[in-house]
Amino acid sequence: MDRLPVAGIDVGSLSAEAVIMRGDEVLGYSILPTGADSRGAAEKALAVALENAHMTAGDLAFIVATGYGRISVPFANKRVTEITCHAKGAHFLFPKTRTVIDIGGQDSKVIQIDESGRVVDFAMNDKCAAGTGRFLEVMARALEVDLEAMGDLSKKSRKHLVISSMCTVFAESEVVSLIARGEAKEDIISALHESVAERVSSLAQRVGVLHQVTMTGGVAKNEGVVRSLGQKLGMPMNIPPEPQIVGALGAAIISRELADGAGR
Amino acid sequence: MVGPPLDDFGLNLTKSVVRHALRTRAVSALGRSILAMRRNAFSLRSTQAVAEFALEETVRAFNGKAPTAWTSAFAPSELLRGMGLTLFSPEAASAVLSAFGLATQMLGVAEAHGHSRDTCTFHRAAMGAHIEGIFPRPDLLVAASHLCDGAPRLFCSIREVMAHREEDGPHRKAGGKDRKAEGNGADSGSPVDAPPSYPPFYLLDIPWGDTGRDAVRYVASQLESLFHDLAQRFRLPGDLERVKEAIRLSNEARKWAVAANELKRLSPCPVTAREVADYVYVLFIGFGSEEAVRIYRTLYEEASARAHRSGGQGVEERCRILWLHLRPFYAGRLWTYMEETLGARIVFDEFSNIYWDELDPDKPFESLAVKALSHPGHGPIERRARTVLRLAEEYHVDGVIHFSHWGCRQSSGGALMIKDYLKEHGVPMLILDGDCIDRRNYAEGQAMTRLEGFVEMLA
Repeated sequence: MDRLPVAGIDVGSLSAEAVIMRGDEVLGYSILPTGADSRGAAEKALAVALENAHMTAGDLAFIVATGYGRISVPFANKRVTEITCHAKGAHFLFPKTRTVIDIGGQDSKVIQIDESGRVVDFAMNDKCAAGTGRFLEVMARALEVDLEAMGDLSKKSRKHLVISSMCTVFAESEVVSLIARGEAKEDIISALHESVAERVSSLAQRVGVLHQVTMTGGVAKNEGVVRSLGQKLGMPMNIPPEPQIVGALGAAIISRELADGAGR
Repeated sequence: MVGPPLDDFGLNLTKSVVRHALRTRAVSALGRSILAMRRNAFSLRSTQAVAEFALEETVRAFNGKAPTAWTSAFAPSELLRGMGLTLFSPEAASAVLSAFGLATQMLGVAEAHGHSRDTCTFHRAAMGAHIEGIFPRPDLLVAASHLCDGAPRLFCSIREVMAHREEDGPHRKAGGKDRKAEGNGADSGSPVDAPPSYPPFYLLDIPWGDTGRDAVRYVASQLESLFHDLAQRFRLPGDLERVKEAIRLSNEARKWAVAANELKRLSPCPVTAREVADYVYVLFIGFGSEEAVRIYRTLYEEASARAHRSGGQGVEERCRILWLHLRPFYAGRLWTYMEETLGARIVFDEFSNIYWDELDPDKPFESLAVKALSHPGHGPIERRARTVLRLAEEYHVDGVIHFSHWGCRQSSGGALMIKDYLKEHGVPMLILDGDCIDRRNYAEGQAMTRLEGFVEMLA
């Protein structure tokens, strides 16, 4: 039986992603800023992904929405948490994954999964923004550098600095003080990466880190954080080619399972 | 006690309304009108009876016909009730304040008086309410040292506040002067140095991690001292028979509570924690009263009737949950969402656990000492962990949720160790951070995502 295409949409705090799949093949995807309109972002992300896949919404058999804005996607057939979706997506890309570390815009989470990709345990950051993409975004603004450039810049660090505060507001003050003291941006950025890695590795220890570890979410594009976190965990991590779409990919996989289950 | 949060009913209670009600001695009228408004909010008659009991007991505390004892959680209510005292639980009252939407103001008052935001909000809100004169005036304070170290410190602070007041405040009871402390003492089970102008504070020292005969004797001797001291200080009848009768009533309530708990093992569970959460009030100060017997007997009858109806309540039981610690008392959809949207039913909660054996009325002090020492949350964390695992097995739960209440060190401090222990035995646990009293320490959206993720994991 020919499988019909399905979609997964992940509406996060900073970005909205959509993935179109048929069987095991990703036909198209999109990554757009969420902005203030979650529903609009979901619609736009789906439209762009469909365009990339040369399809229309009418071609889709099933849509699963995930992310904090999942309730703002009225056209989704089902809503599933990002915890389950990241587990599914990471397992699809790296089947030997047993630990998923997702650092997104406002959440960081560590998920332990079994050999079938089923969630066994998870922990998420508490209410504050420490150890999340938002933390790095605020610091990038304070340093007047592009968020995307932070990873590369940190490679040039020559001096070990420490950002002691976990609180985003206080850490920003520390960064401003370090700038005023004449410290190099590269060294400050490296210290910020250490700070995020410290926070996330503590979270990971709460759940237990099992080999292999796959990192997902936008922060996985930051080589500095990946390097620091890998050192703290004492093992390398799988980094997907496009870590930002793993949640939407997982949602699309669940769509596929549900569409298959419904006999479509 | 409070049932679903009052905010859900559009009730606009302000601090000034409550204070006016207190000034005009209209507590009873205010409480009864609230209960009348909320009659349909109670799905069980027994739960409504808890609210009525709490109201009447609070009215008695304001009226002051008998000395009012402020008690901490797990203080020996049977002994104090047997002596004819009126009991007031500031911790339970903080929950009511939270449901009334008044807790944030009270927390602000306490904070303005130097109470740290790191402390438990049950105690901080109570302190604010005391400073504001919203709570009935205590004639004595009784705390037990086990489980919670916040309550004894609250009671110390309450005494300090009262000492620094130039006058007693608006709720001084008629005849209250006669009941003031007449002497001092600093031993366990005796009042901690109490100048005559404000109430004595009795601290029962429950030895940590020791349940042997020496520990029982040590606690029993404090209870006996407390009995004699109260009888003399407050000119109460030093009649041990009344204490024994309170213990018989406690046993009777215990019997019905155990029988009701048995029914919670059924699937679908006939009554869930969402309906019986307020029974923590009865656990804290109700045992030893006739009301507690009526409440638990009615609960058993109602649960039994539901269990005999085919299909229980006809509610989907996608997974069964054991809840540890308490829940948010302010308006929110946490438990409703869990049960009605996610189909995750909280079939048992830690505060419904009848952890003590039947008491021996002929050995009142010894029995109450054994009861205090047998609390599973007292002593090494392994004790609580083993109890949680036993409850998880007995109530056939799929997962356990620990609500880590802000500032509750005794409960939250060991949550991760309990989680690890349960994991070893194949029982998943979610640690949910939040606050039972202060809505500012709780993000419902984030809690919902964690809950949903947990239920997806279990299902």
